[in-house]
Amino acid sequence: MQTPMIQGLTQSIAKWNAGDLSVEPELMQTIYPILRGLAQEQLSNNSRVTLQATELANEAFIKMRIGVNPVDNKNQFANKYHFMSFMAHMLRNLIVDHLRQRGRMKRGGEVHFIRYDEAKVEDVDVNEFDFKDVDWIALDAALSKLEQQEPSYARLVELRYFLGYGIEQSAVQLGVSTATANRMWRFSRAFLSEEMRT
Amino acid sequence: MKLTTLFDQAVDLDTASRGAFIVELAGRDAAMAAALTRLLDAEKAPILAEPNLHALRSIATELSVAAPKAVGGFQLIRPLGRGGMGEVWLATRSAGAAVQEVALKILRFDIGNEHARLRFQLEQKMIATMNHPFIARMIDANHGDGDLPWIAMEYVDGVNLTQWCTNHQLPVRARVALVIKVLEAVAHAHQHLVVHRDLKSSNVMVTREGVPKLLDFGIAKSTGDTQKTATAQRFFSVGSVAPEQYTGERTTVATDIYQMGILLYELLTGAPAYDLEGLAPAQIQECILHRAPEIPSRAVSPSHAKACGLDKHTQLQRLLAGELDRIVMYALRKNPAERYATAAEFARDLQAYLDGRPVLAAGQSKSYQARKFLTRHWLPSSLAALAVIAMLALTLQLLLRDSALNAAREAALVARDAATKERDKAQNLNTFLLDLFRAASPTAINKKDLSGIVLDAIDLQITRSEFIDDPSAAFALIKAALGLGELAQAQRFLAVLDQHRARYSADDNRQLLLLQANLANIEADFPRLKAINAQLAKTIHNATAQQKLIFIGYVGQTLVDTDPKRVLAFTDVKPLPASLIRLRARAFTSLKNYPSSIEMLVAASVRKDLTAMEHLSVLQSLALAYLANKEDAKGLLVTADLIKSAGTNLGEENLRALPFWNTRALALVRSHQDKEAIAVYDELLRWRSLSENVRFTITMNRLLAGTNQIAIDSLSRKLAHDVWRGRESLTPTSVAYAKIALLRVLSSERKLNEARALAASPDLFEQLEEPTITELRAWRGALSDPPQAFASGESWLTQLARVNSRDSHLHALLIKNRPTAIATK
Repeated sequence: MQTPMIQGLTQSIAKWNAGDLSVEPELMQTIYPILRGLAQEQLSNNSRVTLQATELANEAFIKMRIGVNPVDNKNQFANKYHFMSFMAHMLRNLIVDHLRQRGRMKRGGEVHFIRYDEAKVEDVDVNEFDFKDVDWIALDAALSKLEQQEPSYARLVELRYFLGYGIEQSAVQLGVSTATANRMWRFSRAFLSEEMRT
Repeated sequence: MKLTTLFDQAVDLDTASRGAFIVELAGRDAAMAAALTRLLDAEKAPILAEPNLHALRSIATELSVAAPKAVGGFQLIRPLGRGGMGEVWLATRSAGAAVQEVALKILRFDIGNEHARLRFQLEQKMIATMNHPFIARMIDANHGDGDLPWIAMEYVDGVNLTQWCTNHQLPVRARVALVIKVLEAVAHAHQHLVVHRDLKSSNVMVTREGVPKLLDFGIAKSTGDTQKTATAQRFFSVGSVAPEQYTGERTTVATDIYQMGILLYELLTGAPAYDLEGLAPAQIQECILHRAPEIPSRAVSPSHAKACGLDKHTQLQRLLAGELDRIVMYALRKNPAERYATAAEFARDLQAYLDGRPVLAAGQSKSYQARKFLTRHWLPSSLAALAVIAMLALTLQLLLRDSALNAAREAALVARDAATKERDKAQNLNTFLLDLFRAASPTAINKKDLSGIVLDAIDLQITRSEFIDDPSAAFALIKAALGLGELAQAQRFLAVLDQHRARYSADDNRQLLLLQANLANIEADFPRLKAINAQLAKTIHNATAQQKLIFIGYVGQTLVDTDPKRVLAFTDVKPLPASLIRLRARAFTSLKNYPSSIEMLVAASVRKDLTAMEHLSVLQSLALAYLANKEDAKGLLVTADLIKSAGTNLGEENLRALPFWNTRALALVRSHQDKEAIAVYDELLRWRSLSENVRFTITMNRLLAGTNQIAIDSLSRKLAHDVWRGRESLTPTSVAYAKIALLRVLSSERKLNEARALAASPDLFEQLEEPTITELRAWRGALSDPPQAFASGESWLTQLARVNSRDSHLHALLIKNRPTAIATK
C-alpha cells in the first residue's frame, strides 16, 4: 500500500531517471533527511559493522518501500533501480556539499594537523587522510560537465563512485548491456580525467 | 556524429589507424577532432582512480555522524567545532521544565577503531574527576557499548581566549590575569594527574562574564598511567607542539607549561611564537627542537598594540620588555626540566609581575631587586604616591639642573595633593615612605632606578587608563619624567593624554599644554614651543597666576636668545615674579649687560617673598654675574653669603647645595685663592652619595684648581697624568680641561718639549667654549718656537684677560717669553 506521497516520489524519480532534472530539488528535500537518519540509525545499532553507502541506500529504499507492489515484481525492480540511481546522485550532492562546507570551516579555523609518522595509521585522522585520495570537488565539477552532454554516463559514474557499484551491477541498474556499460565507463573516465587535468 | 560514438570507434584502433581516423575527422570537424584527441590521450593515462570503497566508507561515516538529529537523548542544534577526535555540537536535553544546553562531543572516528574508542573513554574518565570553576564541567557521558561514544560538557556560551582578548581590546595586564586563571585550571588538572597536552586558544573559551573555561582533554593523558599512552598521539596543533611532543618523548606537566607559554606569547604579541607556515618538515623540526622564538617584545605584530588598547607599537613593546619577556621565554625553554616546575609556579610568577614583585624568571640583580621593592610598595597605594617617591629620592640625588628639581618638586606637590584626597591612600603613602627611608639608603637608589619606577608607573597608567577620569597623577608623572630627563616617555604619555583632550576640563587641558610647552622648552624646540604658546595664549586668561607666570617664562624662552630686548621689555614689572628673575638675568647676559643683571639680582636678593631655594638661586646668579663682570671680589663675597644661607636652609651635605658650593669654589679660584678652592673640592669629594658624573666633575675642578697653583701638589700631578690617560671616555670639554691641567704640570716641571708636543695635539675646537679655545691656542702659541703672537696682533695676555683666564703657568710662560712674542709681531 503506497501513500500518495510515496507515489508522487516514485513518479518523480522515474521522471528524473528519464532525464527530467526539474524534479530534483523536490526529491532531495524529501529523501535527504531519511537518508541521514538511516545512516545514523545504522551506525548506532551496530558499531562493529562498517557502514557502506550501498547498504545505506538499500536501507533507505526498503525503509521507504518505494514501488513495493506485490503484484508487479518487475515494476518494483524498475522502481528500485531508479531509486538507487537517484540515491547515488544524492550522495554525490551530500558529500560535495559537506566537503565544501568543511573546506570553509577549515579555512576559517585554526586547526592544522601534521603527522609525524605516517606509518602509524591508527593515529591518523581517517578523514583527513582518505579525502586526499580523491578530489571530490573537482570530480563533481567535471561530472557536471559530463552530465550536460551525456546524462546517462554521469549516472553510471555516480553509481560507481558514490554507491561503489561494479560495472555489471551498474549495467543492470541502468538497463544496458555490460559491454555498453564498459564503453560508457571508458569514455567517462577519459572525459573526467581530461576535465580534471585542465 | 557524437563524441561518445567517435570515441568508441577510435579507442580500439591501433596507433596508425587512430592517426588516420583523426586526420579524416579533422577534415570535416577540426574542433571535434581536437576534443577526441584530448580524450584519447587522457584515456591512456586516466588520473581518476578506480572507485575507492574505503574512501566512500569514511565519507559515509562522516556524513552520518555530522548530521545526526539526536544522540543520547540530546537534540543536536548546531555544530560548534571539530576537535582532534570528534565533533562538538550544541545540544539540548529537557530536564524537567528546564532545557539543558550542553556541548556534546561525539567521537567521529571510525566506529571500528577500538583505539580511538578507548582514548575517548579515557577522556571521559579524566574529565569526570575534575571539578574547577575554570574547567568546563562534564554533565553526562555514555558508557554503554554499541553506541556512538559521547560526552556532554558544560556549554560555554562565549568565544575563545584570543578572540575574547581581541574583542575587548584587553590590556596586557588583563591578558596576564586571564592566563593566570587558565594556569590555575591547568594546575587543577595536574593535581588530578591529567596533562592536557593540547592547550591552545581554541581550547579555552571565555564566557560573557569573562570567566575562562578550559575545554577538550581530547588528547590528554593521565600522568599516572604511562602505559596507555605508549603510542602517544603524534598529531598536534603545529604551532604549540612542545619539543618533547615532537620527538615523542614522555610528555609531562612541563608540556602544558610550554603550551601555556606559547599561548601567552600569542596573546601578548599577536603573533605566533613560531611561524611554521610553508616550512619544510626539516625546518619545522629545527624550529621546534632548537630555535628559540624571537623574544615577545621584539615579536609584537604591527596591529597588536591596538588590540591591547594601546596607541603605539612601541608602548606595547615597552610593556613586554623585561619581565614578561623573561617569563614567557622561561616557559618556552627547550628542555622540559628547565621550565617552570609547575603550572602554579608559572601562575605565581605572572602574579608577581602584576604585583610588581620580583619574578622568578628574572635575574636577581641588586638594582632589579631594589627597583622592584620600590614599585611593590608603591603599587598598593595611589599611583600618585609614586611621583612623591620619585621626587623624594630625587632630592637625595644631585641634579645639576634646577629645572629637574623644580619639576620634581612640583610633581611631588601635585602627587601629594592627589594622594591625600583619600585618607587611606595617604595612610598607605606614609607607610610606604617609612619603608622607603628604612630600606633605601641614598646609595641604593640611582637615577636609573627612579626612571624605571616612573616609566613603569606611566605604563601602568596607560594600561589601566586611569588618566582618563583624573589626569592629575598623570600630570605629576609627566613632570617627574621630565625632571628625570625621560623625555621620550613623557612625550609618549603626553601624546596619549592629548587624545583625550575632549574629556578634560579647560584647566586640565591648560595643564596639558603647559607640560607640552615644558617638554618643548627642555628639548629647545622653539618652533614647537612657539606653536604651543600660541594655543596657550587663547586660554591663559583663565589660568592661575602661577600658570600665567610659567607661560610668560616659556614665551621668554623662545625670545631670550634672539630678542633679549623684548624679553626685558615684558619682564619689566615690579615686583618681578620670582620665576622670571632668572629669565630676565639671562636676557641681560645675552646683551652682555652685566651691570643691569647685577642691579636686578641685587634687588631680588633682598626680597622677602622668595622661597629659600629661590633666594639661593638668585644669590648664585648674582655671584656668577659679578664674576662675568670681572668683579671677582664682590662675586666672592656673594658666594660667602650663598653657602652660609645654603647651610642654614638645606643642612649639611645636602646635594641640592652642591651647585652653590661649586660656585663658591669657582669664585675662590678667580680670586687666586686656589688652596681654599681645593679645600672646598676636597670637602665635597668626601660627601657620600655623589653620582659618578658629579664626582668626576668635582674631581676635574679640583684638578684645575690644584694645577693652577705655582707649586702644584703631588696629588694634582698624579691626577693630571691619570685623567689624561683616561681621556678616551671623556667629553671633549673634559679632555680639553685634562689637557690644560697636564700642560700646567709639564710646564711647571720645565718639560717644555713634552708640553709642546702635547699642545700641538689636535683639539675639537668646534665642541668647546670660547675661554677654553683661547686658552688652548695660547698654550700652543706660548710653547711654539719662536712663540707666536695672537693673530690679531693682540698679546695672548690681553686675549686671556678678555676670557677671564688666570692660568698661573700659562701666564708665567707668556710673560717670560714676552720679548720674543712681541718680536714676532
